[in-house]
Formats: sequence, structure tokens, C-alpha cells
Amino acid sequence: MFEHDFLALFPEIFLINATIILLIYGVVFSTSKKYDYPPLVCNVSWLGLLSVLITILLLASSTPLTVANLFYNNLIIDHFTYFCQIFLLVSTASTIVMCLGYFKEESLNAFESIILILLSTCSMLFMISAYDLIAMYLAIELQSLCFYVIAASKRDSEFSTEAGLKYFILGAFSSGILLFGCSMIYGFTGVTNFEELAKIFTGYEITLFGAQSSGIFMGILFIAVGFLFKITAVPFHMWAPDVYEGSPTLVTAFFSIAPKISILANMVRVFIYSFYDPTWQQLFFFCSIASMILGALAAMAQNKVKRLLAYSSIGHVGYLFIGFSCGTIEGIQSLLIGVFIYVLMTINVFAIVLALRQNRFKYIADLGALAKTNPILAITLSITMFSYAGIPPLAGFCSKFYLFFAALGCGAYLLALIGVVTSVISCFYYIRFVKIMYFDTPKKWILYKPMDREKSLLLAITLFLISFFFLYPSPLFLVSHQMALSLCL
Amino acid sequence: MEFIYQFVWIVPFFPFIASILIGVNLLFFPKSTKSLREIWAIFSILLLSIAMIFSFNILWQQINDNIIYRYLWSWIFDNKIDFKIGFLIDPLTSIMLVLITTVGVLVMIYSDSYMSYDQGYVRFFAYLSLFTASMLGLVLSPNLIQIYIFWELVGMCSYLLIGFWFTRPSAANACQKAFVTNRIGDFGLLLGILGFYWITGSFEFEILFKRFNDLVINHEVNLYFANFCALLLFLGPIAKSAQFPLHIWLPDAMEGPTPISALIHAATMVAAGIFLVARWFPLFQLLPFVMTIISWVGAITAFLGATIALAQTDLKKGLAYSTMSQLGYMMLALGIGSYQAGLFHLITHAYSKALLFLGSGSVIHSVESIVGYSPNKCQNMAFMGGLRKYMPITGITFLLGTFSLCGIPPFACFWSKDEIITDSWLYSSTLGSISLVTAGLTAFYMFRIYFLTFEGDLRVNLNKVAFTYPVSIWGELNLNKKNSNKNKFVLNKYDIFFETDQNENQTDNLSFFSDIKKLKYPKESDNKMLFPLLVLTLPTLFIGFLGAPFPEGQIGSDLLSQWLYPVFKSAEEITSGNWLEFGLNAINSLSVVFSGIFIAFILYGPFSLFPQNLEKNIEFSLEKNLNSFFSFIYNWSYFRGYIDVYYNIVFVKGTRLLAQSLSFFDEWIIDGFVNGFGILTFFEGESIKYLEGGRISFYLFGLIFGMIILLFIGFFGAMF
Repeated sequence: MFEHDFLALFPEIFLINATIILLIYGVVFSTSKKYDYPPLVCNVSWLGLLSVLITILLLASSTPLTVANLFYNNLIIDHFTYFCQIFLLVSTASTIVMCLGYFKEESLNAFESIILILLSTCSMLFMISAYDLIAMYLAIELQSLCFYVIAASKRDSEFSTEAGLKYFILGAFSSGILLFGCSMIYGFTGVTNFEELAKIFTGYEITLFGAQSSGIFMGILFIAVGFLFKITAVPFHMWAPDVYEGSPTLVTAFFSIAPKISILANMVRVFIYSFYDPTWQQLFFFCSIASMILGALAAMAQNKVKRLLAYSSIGHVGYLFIGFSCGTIEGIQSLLIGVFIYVLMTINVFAIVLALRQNRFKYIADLGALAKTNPILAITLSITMFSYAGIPPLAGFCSKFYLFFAALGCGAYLLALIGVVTSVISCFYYIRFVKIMYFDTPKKWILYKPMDREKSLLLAITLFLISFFFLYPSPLFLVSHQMALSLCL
Repeated sequence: MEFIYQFVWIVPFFPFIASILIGVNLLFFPKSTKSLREIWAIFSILLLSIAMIFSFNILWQQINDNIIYRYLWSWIFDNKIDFKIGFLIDPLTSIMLVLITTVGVLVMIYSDSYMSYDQGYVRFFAYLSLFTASMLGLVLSPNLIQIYIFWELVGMCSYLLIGFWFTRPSAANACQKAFVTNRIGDFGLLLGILGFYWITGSFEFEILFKRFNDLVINHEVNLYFANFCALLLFLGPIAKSAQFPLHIWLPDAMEGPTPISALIHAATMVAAGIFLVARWFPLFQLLPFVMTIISWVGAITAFLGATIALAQTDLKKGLAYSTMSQLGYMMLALGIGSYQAGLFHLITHAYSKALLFLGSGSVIHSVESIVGYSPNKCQNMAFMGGLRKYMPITGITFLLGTFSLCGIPPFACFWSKDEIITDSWLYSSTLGSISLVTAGLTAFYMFRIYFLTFEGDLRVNLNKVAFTYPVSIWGELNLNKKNSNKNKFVLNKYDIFFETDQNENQTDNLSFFSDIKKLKYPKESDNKMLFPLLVLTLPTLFIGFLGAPFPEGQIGSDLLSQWLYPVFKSAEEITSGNWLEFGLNAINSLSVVFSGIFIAFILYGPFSLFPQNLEKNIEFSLEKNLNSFFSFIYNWSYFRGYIDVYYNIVFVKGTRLLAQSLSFFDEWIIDGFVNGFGILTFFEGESIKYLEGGRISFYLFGLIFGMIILLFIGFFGAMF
């Protein structure tokens, strides 16, 4: 297909080079006495945004291929990776747009966080297209290392450093488990490539005490645990609220948007394509139910916005896992639609949270009387919250509808039932936002400064998509169907 | 000649435009619209007159061509559903068009004068136009969905117009009663429509009848189900035409302005039920059981209405029960299969009853300034009497209407009613005797109304001390001041509801009226009100000849039945116009009618055997003279057969009880469940919050613990 494998990887290579050049630029100029140690955050973030946009262009300009294996089957490019990568880059770009004003207001002169975001984006691009256990692990590890550092990027804050440290220790643990699983798979099968693994596991009954080796089962279990930890599914979610709360808001936004796409893409690749077996479906079934229930219940008692959003994202991971544990094409399709809409809503919410940043919007009660002080923002947040809660005809309803529909289609009635019940419960705390904004009169009125233009544009676009998704959903259907097909066939 | 048919949509469209324009203007420019009220009235009368001329033209075309014209336009098109809207013109439609537009125009002219002092004058015309438009649309509908839409629109207009004086509590209650009662029927109608759609797969009349006919002939349809659906369908006409179990709304509907009672609750809307049954006649005919039900419902309604009308003291309510009784006649006629007799009676009755109602409106209009504006005064016949002297034109036209309704030749209703009675005798002797007795009762109560209202002496002025004077309703107005300018009597009718406590004012009134010797007498209404009355006497006199069974061979013999024949395809026979036979039958019924009139004359006539000394005790003289059995019947009739009381106990209180118990269930059990669940989740949330201790070692423990859980799940998942 390609004369040279590097040609196919041009977007990734460009992004890496741009990141390195930006790093050198930042290091050289911010330490130069000649320019009086300028704070380069704004420059670097604009340039970073630019380079992400160029990467999107580069990626999009190469027409979607049918399939191409690169670097001795270590990486793969097909429809699935193509759309996932574009989507990932777009969401990264919107995260950078969100934080343009943030550095200015917080006077946080750490341009390194942008560099680290770009670097982790690059690793996530590789994660999406990984086609080998080793390549996968390397990509995950690069991403995780970047994340540990970003979480602790606000060095003068206790919370931030604590979050970084916690994330690092627990993340190292889970990485170890993941690597252990990979090595067990390798030890019992002798291959690391996904395609060959898929060939081996076709018709292979993976059981603990069956005729076949229990080592493979353990290996898959460990890999699953590693992934579940990264995506904050329930038994392994404990780090998420602490880290989300402690990190700077910008980082929280990034954590709850971009990695969800890449890890889910990778998980789908591993578990649907390579290890396709009903055994592990039980695990995801359990995790899905547990995440939905915990996400709904735990968020109810939270007063802090970021912590609440962390639990909300845990709950949404539970919903997405409905599609995952179905294991059907419809399930994958609904999962992809769900991810898309989840990311849209999350970008919107975090843009609002960042827009209300000036007076340290920390508690939910701080929103009181926002409907009077800033009605447009209040209505935006209300619509997004309604969408999160799954009120028709907003986008959130559509995503939940397709997920439950897929669950009913494959006979997982319990999942659909619990999904409906938990989304009813979760309505409570989503709609509490609306109640506080519109009906509560606080003792102290908080006036927020108007947000910058970039954020307002971002809010407008995402709100438009959330509100009017139901009018013309067919493009997303076509794309997600193609993605699911290219993965499963 | 089909050219004119293509533009038949103009007929309902013109009044619709009028109503929309008036409505929009009233909404956006209320002040200027109200100051230009005359212009709006003329505008809507003009548009409806154009529609009337159009429908006369269509009628003429129909008489000449006699073709059924159907124009359809695809509305919802899908590979499964092809739903069309359009219009259908056949003899039935064209007659109804003429009927509605003529009565509509006359009522509009009439109400220009009748409503002239009302604040809601313009609103009234908007409603009236909207009603006319939807009624015309109903008549023109070629399929069931369209029928249903217009049916609901007509019902809504009726609701609005009954409650036109909505500030008066009795009117507000009456319009709600009418609406709720009609909803029962409408629901049945909708179910019936859907049921027949299920059976035949079409909403279109012709296709539906044809398919259903095939199905019945080939025994491919469950007859029980078809009967059930037909009965549900019949529920719509039962409610709309005030037939027996659901008739209770019609007398209360008299709370509306009198022109409305003439147009909606006598001539057109209540006839819509009859119209629908006539439309569905080919279908009902295939189901003999349903036909029997229809005829019996009609007979019961006719008899019940006539008996209740015997003792009503309210002029309009008496006429309302009479309407109900006559509608029962029509339903009976349709039920026994004499299609054309039923429709003939529909037409003749519409004109006669419109005349009677407009006459009663004229009476009320002139009497209310003397007696009082409250409907239980100005419509109370106990206060009237001898009005023919003061308002001769109204009196004579009313008498003509009475003659017609009683069935005295050669007036309109004679021909149609006699045909119904003859046909019902042929069908079954029970139904025949019921209809004959009802005819006698009709004559009695109609002449009772006439005598009480127009003959004798004006009882208001006989002994004025006996009742409270209209002064009381003016409340704060100074009595002396009012005495000086009596012209102010004709003020806004909105003041009616200012019922002050009469006890306080009574003594004042008494002293006031003992001082004044001069008595006031009612005056004849003005020309705008008399013109419709005079015009309506013409059809009342002559329209009966349309269907009169003249001797064989003579031109115009039984015109109507021959003409309506094409619609009525599957009829076995048509009553032949045998002049002699008809005459013999007529003698029978006429004797009954005249005996009814005679009794009424004896009891209530100007030279009555029982002197009416006190207007309040007008009926007491009866009780004294007749035995307890008659007084029982009298009371039964006076209290409307106690039906409203029983309905109130069974339905209203029953529903309230059910609602209360459901509310209790909802409040304590369902809400308790929800709230309990909410509290439970809240506590769980709190407990989970404290589970997050923030210690890394605990988190690591959780990680390992979760992994072990997953291991077990995987293990058991593999086992089972």
C-alpha cells in the first residue's frame, strides 16, 4: 500500500516533531534572560493547537483506507483507526481551546502541560492503531507517564501533587498487572500479534480448569483489569475521584475526554477482535452494572463539581460498557455513538466549568442564581445536564437509547433494565444543577466574568450538536457502522 | 357542470376565513375591532351568504345531475398508508349544506340585534362563523378521519358557545357538562372508526362499505366484533344528538345565547349525529342487531324527551326536550330503515325548531327587561302569558312553528312525522304505538308552551308583589335614579350574574313598586329579529311538500325519496306514495294530536277550566285537581325524570370517590415507594462517599479485591 511505512505514519511523526520543536522553543526562550523570562504558555498553547489542527488535516487528507499493516504488523490503519484518530485529535484540540484562557487567569506559567498533552495525544494515536501487545503496552505506558506528570502539574497545590502521586502509584500497579497479563499470553501462546492471537483463539475455549491452559484465562483477566483500571470502571475506579478532583481543572477535562476514546478503541480492538470469547463478557457485564449503579449513587452525595463529574464519568463508562459487553456489531456501533456523544457533552460541561473559573467554581452551590447573572450560560448548562440525564430529544437520550436497544437486541435485559433505573436515579443530581441555577437564591451572589471568545465558540458548537443531533443522526450512524464493520470482519 | 363542484371548498372556507380574521383582529387590535363591530358582523354575514348562494347552486346541480362527485387530495402518502382528504358531494350533502347555510345566515342576522348590547359581540360572531365552517366541513367530509376532525371542532364550538357567558356559573357548568358528555361519545366514535379501519383497512366511506359488505357476505368477519364496533361508532351520534343515556347535556346547553340554541342545539349540530348515522346507513344495515338498538334508542329518547317536556317551566328547556324528542324520532326512523323519512324529518324539524327557538329568543329578549335578566326568570313561563297582544308577529310565527312541530297539515313536520309513524307501525306495533303516543305528547307540551307564553294575561304584572323584582340584580344602582331613565334597562347582559342578596332588597322593592302604579309591558322586537322569523315561516309552511306523497303521477310527488334514492342503494323498498293509504294513516295520528291539543287547551288555554290565579302556583292547580298518580308523573317530568340526580350519584360521585382513592394510593404508596427509594439511594451515596478514604493502601486493596471478584466471576461464568 505504501512505498514506505513512514509515509503512512506521517501525521504521528509530524505531531511528535512539532511537540519536540515546541519543547525546545519553550525551554530556550523561557529561560532566556534577553527576553526577561517570558511566560510562553499562550504561545505554546496556540502553536500546539495549530499543530494538532495540522495533524488532523494530514490525517484526513489521506483517504480512509481499507486496511494496512505497518512495521511488521505492529500497527494497523483501517476505517476504525482513521475515524477514532480524527475524533481523538478533535477532542484534544477542543481541550486545548478550553484551556487557552485558563493559564492566563490562573497565572500558571507551565507551558510543559501543553507539551505533555501533545505527547500523550501522540501516544494515544499509537494506542488506537496498535496491533501488537508490545506496541499496545508501550503506547499505554507513554500515555500514562505523561498523565502522571500532568496530574501533578500544579506544583504549588497540595491537591495536585497528591493526585499525581496517587495516580502514579496506582497506575504503576495497574501497568504492572497489564504487562503481567501480556507476558502470560505470550508465555502460553508464543505470539503477541493481535491477528495471530485471533487465529489461535478462534474455536479455543478459554476456561480456567478446562482442557486448555488456565494461564491464558489469567492473562486475559489481567489485561482486562489493567484496562478497566485505566478507564475507571467500577471495582478499579477508586483513584478517579481523587485524581479528578485534585488535578487542575484543565487536566481533569483532558482526563475525562481524550483517554476514554483511545482506551475504548484499544479495548475494543483487543477484546472484540483478538480475544473474542463469551467468558470475558461476564466480566464486562459485571463491571457495567457495578459502574452504572455506583456512578448513579455515589454522585448523589457529592457537593464538589469535579468530584461529581468524576462519578458521572464513571457512570457513563458503565453505560458504554453495555455496548461493549454485548459483543455484537450493533453493540460496538452503539458504543461508538455513545463515546461520541459522551465526549461532546463532557467538552461542553468542562468548558462551562472553566468559564466559571474566575471565582473558583468548586461547589455546586456556587451556581446559585446563575440563571439571573448569566442566563445564556445557565440555559446551556441546563441543556447539557438534561442531555446527560437522557431527556429526549437531546443527544444524551439518543446515545442511551441505542445502547439499551443494543442490549435488548442481544438479550441482555438485565443491563438495559439497570441502565434505565440508574439513569432515572442519576437524573436527580443532573437536574439538581438546573434547580440550583434557576430556583435557589444564594446569600452571596457570585458574578462571573464573561468568558473568552474561543470557549464561547466551543460551547456554541457542542450545544448545537447536543440539541440538534436527533435531527440528522445518519452520518454518525454510517460512520460508526463502517467502523464496527471494519473491526469485526 | 362539474366546474362548480371543484370550488365547493369555498363553502366551508368562507366562514372559516371570517372567523379567523375576526379572531386575529380581536386578538391583536381588540379596541378597534370592538368599535367596528357592525362591520365585522356584516362581513361574516356576507361571507356566509355567498356560501349560501353557492350551496343553493350546488343543490340545484345535484337535483339536475344527480351524480356523486368526489374530490380527493393525497395528504399522507406512504407505501402502507394512503390517506386522502377532500370532499364528497351527494344529495345528502347538498341538502345539509343548504340547511346549514340558510339557518346560519338567518341566525347571524338575528343575533346582530339579539347580541347588540353584549360585550362579546365580535367574539360571538367569530365563534359562530367557526361553528358554521366546521359544520359545513363535517357535512362535506368524504372519510372518517376528516369527519372526526370536524366532529371535534363542532363539539369545541358548541362548548365555547354554551359557555359564552362564562362568568355565569351555571353556563360554565353547562358547557363543561356538554363537553364531558360529548367526549364519551367522541371516544366511542374514535374507537369505532379505528375498529372499522382494522376490519376493512380503509377510512373512505365507499371503499369501506364495499369491503365490509363483501366481508359480511363471505362471512369473513367476526360479527360480534363488527357489532361491537358499530355500537361504539353509534356512541358518537348518541352523545351528539342527545339520545337517551347521554342526553343530559342538551337541556343545560340552553345556558348559551338563544341564537346558539337555535342554530347549534336545534338545527345543525345535534342533527350531525343523525347525519352520521345516515352516512353510515349502508353499514348499519348489514348489522340488524345494531339497527334494532338504534331504533330503540330513538324510541326511548323520543318518549322520554316528550314526557320530560310536559312539565318544564323554562321556555328554552321545554323546547330543548322537544328537540331531544324529535331527534329520537329521526333516530327511530333511521333504525327501522326508513332512511328518507328520517332525513326528511331532520330538514323539516330544523327549520321549524329554529323558528321556535328564535321566537323564544324574541320573547326572552323583550321580557327580560321586565322580569329580570337571570335565566330562571326571563325564561320562566310562569312570568309570561298574553304576549301575543304585545308582540303579534312573534306570537303568530311561534304558533305556526308549534303547528308544524305538532304535525298538523299542511305544515312541514306533519309530512315527515307522519311518514315516520306510518313506517314504525309497519315495522313493529310497539314502536309504532310509542311514536304515536309521543306525537300526542308533543302536541300537548307544544301547546302548553304556546298557551302559557302567548295566551292569557301577562302574569308578571298581575300581582307584582309576589316575586322579587329585577331591580335586585342591579345591585348598587340607585332605585330612583333608575326610575328616571328606564332605557338603561337594556344594558349589558354580563350584569346578569350580579345576583345580590335578594332578601335585603326585597323590602325596598316592595315599597318601591307599591308606589308606582305604572306597569311596563313587553314590546315587539325590532326588524332585524323579526325578519329571520318571517323568513323561517316559509320553509316551515312549505318545505313539507318536498316529501309529501302526492297522488301518483303528479309532478313533485315524493320528490325527496326519489332523489335520495341513489344514496340509499341497498334498500329493499321505498314507501310508495299512496295518497289514500297515507291519508288513512294520517287520520289516526291526527286524532291523537288533536286530543293532545285539546287537553292542553283545557288545562292551560285562555278559557281554562282551572283558573290560574297565581303564576307561582301555576302548576299547583293541577296537583290539587288530579290524583296522586298524576302528581307523581308530574314530579317525575318536572325533575327531568330524576336522571340527572342518578347520574350525579353514580358517575360524578363515583368518579370522585375513585379519584380520591387513587389519589390516596398515589400519595402514600407510589410516592412512598419513590421517596423511600430516593432516601435509600441518598444514604447509599453518603456511605459510598465515606468509603473513599483517600488512602492509597486501601485503594490498592480495592484493586486486588476487585481483581479477585472478577476472577470468581470469570470462573463461575466459565462453569455455567
